[in-house]
Amino acid sequence: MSNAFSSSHEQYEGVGTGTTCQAPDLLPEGSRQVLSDFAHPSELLGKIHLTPQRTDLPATFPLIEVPRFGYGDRLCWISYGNATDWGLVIGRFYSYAPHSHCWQWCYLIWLDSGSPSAAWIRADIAWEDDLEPLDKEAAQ
Amino acid sequence: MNPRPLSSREQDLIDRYSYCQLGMTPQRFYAKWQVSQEDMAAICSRSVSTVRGWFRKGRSYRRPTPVDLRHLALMDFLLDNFDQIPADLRHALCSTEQENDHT
Repeated sequence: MSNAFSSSHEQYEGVGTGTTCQAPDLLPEGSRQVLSDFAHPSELLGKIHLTPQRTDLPATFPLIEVPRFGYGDRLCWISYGNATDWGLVIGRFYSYAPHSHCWQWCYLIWLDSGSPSAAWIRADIAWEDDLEPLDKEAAQ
Repeated sequence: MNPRPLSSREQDLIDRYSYCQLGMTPQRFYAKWQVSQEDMAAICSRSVSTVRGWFRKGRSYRRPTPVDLRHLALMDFLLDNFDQIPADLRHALCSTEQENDHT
């Protein structure tokens, strides 16, 4: 299955990260027409057409940015003031990130048993820019 | 055991499921049902840290995947229609391990 994340009827933020990658249109033209055909967002449920985005693998692959984190690194999600999850890097893949309009590294995090979400899952994925070292001082 | 061949009706069902565009946004689900973000994380098998990103604004907003949207839509469908599903099918669909042990 493609990693090209599809659109929903939400208004997604289209904020770049300052990187040099090309910013494809979030919603293909056909989708915009479909969205405009409905008067109210509630009418869209079950009727949205999740057209794949134009998210071709960068032509330079595998000559791409080096991942910031390695296997076994202890990372946490950036908290933004809330309790956050943490764990070990056990995997990573390169994928299109809709929030930055770029391809970037995504990590598979094996959650620590004390992490809040460990009550219902063992692992989750997270974009590189949503993660930071758990031991910031040690990382520096 | 050999796999069972599909009838045209069953093949049609697979096609409809495969190309189903069912999806519900976290915002709509959260507005419709009195749930916590932890509940939504469990429904979608995601961390609560990931789910919080779906509700942030601006640069730190993160988009749910189509799989997340489908999980929420299916949960919404079940919540709306659970009572209309026959009891034996409900147990087959969502039985707990303890219930399984007794059957």
